[in-house]
Amino acid sequence: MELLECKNLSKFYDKKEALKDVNLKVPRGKIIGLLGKNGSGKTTLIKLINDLLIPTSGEVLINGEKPGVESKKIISYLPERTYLDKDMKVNQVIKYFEEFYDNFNADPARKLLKDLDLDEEQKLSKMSKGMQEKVQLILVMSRKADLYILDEPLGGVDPATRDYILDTILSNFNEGASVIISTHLIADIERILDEVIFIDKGKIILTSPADELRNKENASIDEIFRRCFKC
Amino acid sequence: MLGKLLKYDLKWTYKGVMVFYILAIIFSTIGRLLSEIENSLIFNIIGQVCIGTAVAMVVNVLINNLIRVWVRFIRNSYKDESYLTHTLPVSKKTIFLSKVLSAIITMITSAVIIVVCVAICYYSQESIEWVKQSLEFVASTYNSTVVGFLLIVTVVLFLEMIFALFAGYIGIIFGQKSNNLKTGKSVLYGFIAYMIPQTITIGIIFILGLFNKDIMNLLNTTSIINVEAIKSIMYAGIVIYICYISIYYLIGKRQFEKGVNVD
Amino acid sequence: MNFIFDNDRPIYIQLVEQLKEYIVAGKFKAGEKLPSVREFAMQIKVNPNTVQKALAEIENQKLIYTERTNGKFVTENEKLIENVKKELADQKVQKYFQDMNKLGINKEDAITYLQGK
Repeated sequence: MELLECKNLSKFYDKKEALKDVNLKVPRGKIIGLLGKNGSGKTTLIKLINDLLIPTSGEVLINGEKPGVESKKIISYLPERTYLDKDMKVNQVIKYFEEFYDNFNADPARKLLKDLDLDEEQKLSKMSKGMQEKVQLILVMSRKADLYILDEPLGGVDPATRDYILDTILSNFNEGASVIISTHLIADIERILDEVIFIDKGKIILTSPADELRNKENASIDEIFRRCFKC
Repeated sequence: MLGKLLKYDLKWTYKGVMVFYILAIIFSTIGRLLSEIENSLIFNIIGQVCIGTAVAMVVNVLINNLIRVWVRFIRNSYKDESYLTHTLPVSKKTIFLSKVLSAIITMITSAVIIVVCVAICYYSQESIEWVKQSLEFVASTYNSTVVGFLLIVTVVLFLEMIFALFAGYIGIIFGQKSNNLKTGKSVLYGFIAYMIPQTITIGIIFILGLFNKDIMNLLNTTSIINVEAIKSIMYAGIVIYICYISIYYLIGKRQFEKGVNVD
Repeated sequence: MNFIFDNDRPIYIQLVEQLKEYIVAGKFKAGEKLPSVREFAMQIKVNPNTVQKALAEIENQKLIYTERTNGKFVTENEKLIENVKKELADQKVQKYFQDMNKLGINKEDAITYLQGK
C-alpha cells in the first residue's frame, strides 16, 4: 500500500480552482520536491493531506485511510507559518509535543535547540520570526515520523540558515521515512531530492526521478523548471 | 487525550479571567471593610465606590469568560494555531468536546466567584433576613425553601449563559465555513443562532398559554404577576434550554467533525 | 572529503566518478572502511538514496566490498585499483587528444606541445 495517495483530488474556492484533479502516489523512503511557483497549489495540496481543508472532490489516502487520528500520528508537518502559542516558553512547547506525540523525542530536540544557543526559558513571542521558524523545524524533525511534509522551509532565509535547515532535515529524518519538501527555490535543494513533482495552476504537470530528468534534459532541475514555466 | 487538551484549554482561559477574579474579590473585601467603619463618611463613600467597582468586575468576569472561550475556539481551530490543533493525533470530536467542557467549567467557576463576591459585599444577618422576607412569599408558593427558589433562578440564568455560549460556537463553526467575511458572518450567524430559539421559546410559552390561563395572563398583562405562572415557566425554561443546548452541541460536533477550511 | 557537484548531470554519476578518483588517488586507502550511507549523505549533503546508488555502482565494479555486518570497505586488491587508475588516465588522455583535435592540432603536435609545458 502506498504511503500517500491522492485520487482525483480537487479543491475549489467558490469558482476558483485551487487544485484540479490531482493524482499522485508517494512511496516510502524518498525525498520528494514539490516544486511550483507561488500560488501554484502547493500549499493547498499540503493542507488537504493534513486535514486542514475539505476536498471539493476526490480523496487523500494515507496508508489507505483518509486523514484522521492515525494519519496524524505518522505525519510530521511543518506549515509555512508560525503555528505555536506565542505565550508559551520553549520548554513548554517541548513538553506539549512530548504529551501529544508518542514519536516525539525531547532529547535530540533539546540538543538541537542548545546548538542554536536558545534559552529554553524564553517565550516564543520574544523571539524573531526566523528563530521561531527554526524552533518549529526542530520540533517537526524530532519526531520519528513516516512522512515529513515541509512547506517552504527555505522561504526567505539567508544562505547560512538555508544550510542549517538542509542539514537539520538530512540528519534528522527517520530512516525509511519519506520527506515532501515544497519550494520555489530549487537550486538550493535539488541535490537532496530523489524525485520531483512540478505543479502549476493547480495541476501536476510532471513527476520524475530527479537524476532521470537531469539525464534526459541534460540540465539541472532548476533549469528545466525555468524552461517549463517560461512557455 | 481529552484530559491533555482540557488542561491546556483551562489553563489558557483561567489565565485571562484570573486577574478579574482577584480584582473582584479584592475590591469586594476592601469595600466591605471600609463600609464597616462607623462614623466615617469618607471611608464609607470610598467603600461604596469599591463595591461599585467590584460589581463592574463581576460583570466583567462573565463577559470576559464568554468572549475568551470563543476567542480560544477561533484561534485554535481556524487561525494560525489551527495548523497545530488539527494536526495533533486527536479527533475533531475530542477537540470540540474539550472546548465545550473547558468553557462550562470556567463559567461555573466564574459563577461561584460572583456569588462569593456578592456574599463578601452584602452578607450580614439583616440582609439575609431582608432577602428571606422578600422571597418568602414567592418561595412559599413554590412549596420550596428560599434557597431552593434561588437555586432554580440561578440554574435558569446559568443555562441561559451556556445557551449563549453554544449559540456563539454555532455562529463560529458556520461563519468560518464560508470563503470570505468569516468574522462578520460568525457574528451574524451567532446572533441568529441566539435569536431563533429565543423566539421559539416565546412561541412555546404562548402555546402553553393556550392551555394555561395563568401563563396567558402573564403575556397579556404587565401589572399582576402570577407566581404560579412564573414557576411553570421556570421549569419549562430549564427543559427548553437543556434541549437547545443539546441540539446545538450535536450540530456543532457534527459540523466540526466534517472538517474545517482554514486560511 | 570534498565533493563538488554540478546540478546539470545526474548526481549519482558524478559521485561515482569522484569516488573512483578518490580511491585511485589513495585518499581512500585500500582496505579502508567507508562511512555509512547516512553519514556519507550528510557529509556531502546529498540524498541517501543517491549515495546508496553510487556505492552500489562502485561495488559492481569491485572497487569496494560489503562485509555483512561491518559496512563497506575499499578493496584490498591493489592490482584492480591500479587497473582502474590506468583506465581513468587513458580516458583523460583520450579527452586531451580529442580537445586538441578540435583546435586542429594533431596527435603528434599535441604530444610535443605537452612536453613543451
